[in-house]
Amino acid sequence: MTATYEPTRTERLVRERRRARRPGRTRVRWVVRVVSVVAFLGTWEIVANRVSPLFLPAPTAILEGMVDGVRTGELTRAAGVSLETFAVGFLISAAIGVPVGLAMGRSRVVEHTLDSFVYALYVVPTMAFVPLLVLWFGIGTVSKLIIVVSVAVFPIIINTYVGAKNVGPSMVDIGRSMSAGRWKNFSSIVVPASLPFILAGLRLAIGRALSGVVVGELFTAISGLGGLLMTYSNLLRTQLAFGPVVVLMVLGIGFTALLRFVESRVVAWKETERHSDEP
Amino acid sequence: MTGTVLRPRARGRVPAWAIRTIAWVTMLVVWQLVAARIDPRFFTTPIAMMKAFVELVQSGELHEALLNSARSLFAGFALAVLIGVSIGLLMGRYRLVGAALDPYVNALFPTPRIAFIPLVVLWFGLELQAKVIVVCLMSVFPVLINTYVGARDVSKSLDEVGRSLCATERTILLRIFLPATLPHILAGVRLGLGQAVGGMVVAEILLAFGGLGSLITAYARSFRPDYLFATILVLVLLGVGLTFLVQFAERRLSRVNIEVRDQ
Repeated sequence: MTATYEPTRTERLVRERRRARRPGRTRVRWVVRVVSVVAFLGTWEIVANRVSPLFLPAPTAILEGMVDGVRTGELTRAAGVSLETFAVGFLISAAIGVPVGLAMGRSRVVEHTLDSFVYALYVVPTMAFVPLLVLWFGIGTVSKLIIVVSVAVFPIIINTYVGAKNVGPSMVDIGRSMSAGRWKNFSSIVVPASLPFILAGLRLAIGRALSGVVVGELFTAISGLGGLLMTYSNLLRTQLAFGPVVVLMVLGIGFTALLRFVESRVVAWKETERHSDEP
Repeated sequence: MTGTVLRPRARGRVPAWAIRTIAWVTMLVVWQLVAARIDPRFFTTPIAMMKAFVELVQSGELHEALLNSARSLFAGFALAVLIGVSIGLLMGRYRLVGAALDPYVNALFPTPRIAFIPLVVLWFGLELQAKVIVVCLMSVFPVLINTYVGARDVSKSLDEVGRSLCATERTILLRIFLPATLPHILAGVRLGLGQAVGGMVVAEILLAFGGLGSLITAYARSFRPDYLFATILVLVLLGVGLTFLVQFAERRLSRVNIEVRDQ
């Protein structure tokens, strides 16, 4: 499988240089951006005031509903439940995905034992197993965690695997010639060299883990942001149903930005990504 | 000569396909042995799954559900490709269009778009069109973003060649930018396809839309894991098959692209 195209360092530098030479352009673009968003929200507000709020609530009404939700604690409580599921599920995915990926990248037997399963499950809509999981584990936390892990673990495994496999033999040979042992070689050379890939995998897993949380909660329709969303839309409280969606949006954008920041700090020397869901 | 020098350790090693075969056979045997001891209302053996699969195919039940799912999948995905490619091209070609639209793309991309399903139902009901829209919503972003990035990175000299030959804006877009972006578009299509199938299944499972997802829910509720696994098998084949198809197209077209570049 090929990765999406990443501009090379030189290309990016050239583009940045070109941009820097014309600061006016950047400013124009920011003005366009702001105008676009303001116009969009304004139009939405005007249109929404003319149609039934059941169908399309206005942005201000949605905000009002969210403020109420925070005040009564309903929205914050739901967000807390979702965040907990997300965090635990994400940590389990990382704890499984990184070691499995490293093992696949460094051992031929492990690699070929697992690769066809990993690729098959990556393509398969794992959400199809949700009713089965409910059959086995009920609608509690266990089911939700399994859903989250089953969607989030694959980008981590695949990225780590590709990263560990691509560690150049020359690097490993240097370690060996310095009489580093197997473990030393692995922990001081292979793992750091795979780090950019591991972090990219973790970033890609965020979106999938959040989707997993939502699917689990929509299906059980009891707790969390997904549960709240399902309850409100079943009650036709459209204005309130938008609240959890907005919170999920903020969470998705926030976590992705956070991991991008970590990436830029930790592995500033390299930017590599495989099997991305994004450019 | 070089081959032997480059791969001195390759001789005497177990080939990859052998390891894979052993892994699959072991998995199936263990599954069969373990599952045979479990209550068949909760788990199933591979043999029972294949029997159920044959039964479903013969009874025509599967055929109907697959047709239902495939119809909305293809309609929604075609819509997503159409929207994604055209908006992505415009955003990449014209900086200001890009600036005007990228806040929405950047905000919606990391959002779990599955959360929009209840809203889509609120607006469009439970008809076929709602499912088409869910599929489109799930898969449009990978296509759009890949096209956007690809079109943005089209070399400036290609654009200049077009202009110096007095090509119209339309010709530059369709004859220069579109082909130059094609590898990115296909990568986006491949990524979007997975999202499309996932979104379709979630919508069908959650909301009794009909199709394969509804079969899955129905079999889970009637404690028939053998039929349930057979249905999932169909989804697996659908997902793997479509991905292979796109990858094949990618390989073919990227070869064409390289040839064009070389000339």
